[in-house]
Amino acid sequence: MITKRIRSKIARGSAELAILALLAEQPLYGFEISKHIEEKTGGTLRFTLASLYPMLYDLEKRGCIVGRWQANEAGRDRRYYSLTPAGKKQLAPLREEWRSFFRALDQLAGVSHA
Amino acid sequence: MPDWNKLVRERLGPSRLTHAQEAEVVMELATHLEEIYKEQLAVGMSESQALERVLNQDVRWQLLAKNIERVKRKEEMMNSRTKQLWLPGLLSLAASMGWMMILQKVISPTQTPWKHAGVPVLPYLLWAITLPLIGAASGYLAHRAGSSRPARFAAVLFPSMVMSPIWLFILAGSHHPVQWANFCLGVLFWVVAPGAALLAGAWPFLTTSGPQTADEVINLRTKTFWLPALTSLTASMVILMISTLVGLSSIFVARGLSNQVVYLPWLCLLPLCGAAGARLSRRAGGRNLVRLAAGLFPAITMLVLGSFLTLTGTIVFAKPQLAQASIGLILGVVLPGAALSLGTLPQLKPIRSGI
Repeated sequence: MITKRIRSKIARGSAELAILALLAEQPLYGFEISKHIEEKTGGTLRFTLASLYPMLYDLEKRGCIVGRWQANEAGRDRRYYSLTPAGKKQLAPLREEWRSFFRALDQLAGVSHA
Repeated sequence: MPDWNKLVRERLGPSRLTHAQEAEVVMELATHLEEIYKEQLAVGMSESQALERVLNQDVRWQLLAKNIERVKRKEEMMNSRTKQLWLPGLLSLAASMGWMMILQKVISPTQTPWKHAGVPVLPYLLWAITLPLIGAASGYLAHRAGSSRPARFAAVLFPSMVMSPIWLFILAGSHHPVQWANFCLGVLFWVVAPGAALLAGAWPFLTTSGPQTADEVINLRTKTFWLPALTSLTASMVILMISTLVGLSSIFVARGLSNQVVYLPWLCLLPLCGAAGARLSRRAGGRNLVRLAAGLFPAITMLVLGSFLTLTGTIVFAKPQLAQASIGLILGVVLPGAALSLGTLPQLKPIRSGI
């Protein structure tokens, strides 16, 4: 049985990967990050205000991403996040970790899609 | 259009973030809500429906505020905990252990001129007498870093707190029947007495509440009593250390002159220590009684410590050693007290004020 704690760790890890992978493509601000993730995963992964920002601030504190205030096309100030070199370096092993995790889970429980 | 900043600020409630951090977080969350609002309008909702949708978002604002605060202040909290507890605590531990190791290395048990119930007293005595200085340094650092009173106590008592589980471990791990008397003596010597000595030195920094300026930390009592008293004690201990190192050199040991070489120069220089303590107290505005106590502080400390050693020796070994105790009292308290008085008493005269 998966405990709540393990589930929370998995959720947190996957969310980190999702944010880093998204920001590797282009700088985005908070609302855009949540929309992109929701759209790209067909609504499977969804960030609320409460889950997104503490994670962004944590990643920023750890030096994986950096936020800068910039005006968007409409001239409104938004805080755009982009990947730092440290974040880029972390992304590759993180991807590999998750790949191994899913491979192991597939072997164990046959969870990969056909 | 609602005032999104105000709405977010109200929901987050009071925060311990800096003003700039808080403003930035509020602005960012407000823009997020505004985007959701606009998105709802874009799909054809009325303003009131869109607003209702935004306000009904499943957000536990207090938890969000707490999480943001935790993340944003993580480094700051760790830094302050290090400064307020770990640094002074580890300093206290390292200094007290290091000092004891130096004393044990320098003063060989076979050369120790004084023994009490088979225990080499001199290294322990020197160590215990100087522990208040270490306690004072640790307490000062913790106080200066703005730590709470329990944290200051913990930092100062860190060496005793480390020693406590060690003694319990010894008790639990012993394959032999527990010798309670020895165990109690160990706890007394290595946990209780050092703790009391550390607390005594740190007392001025433990009793004051609220940091932070140097003037607040070094209050009147510290200036008039503690600093002069600790100066007098430190000076006398430094002199004793030097005379001990000289006295225990092979030249004097071979001729059986160790005790005299250790003791007499120390006794002759004690008036200077007393004078230094009393003069410092006088300059800070200490009353006569305070000046006297500051000047005689080394003798007072010796009296307390000597009584403690005699009492524990009597209780644990059940052998009253009155002769030794009396000699110890004369050599360790009465004569040094008289020598300290020589330097202290002239400092009790009133300060002449210029016309």
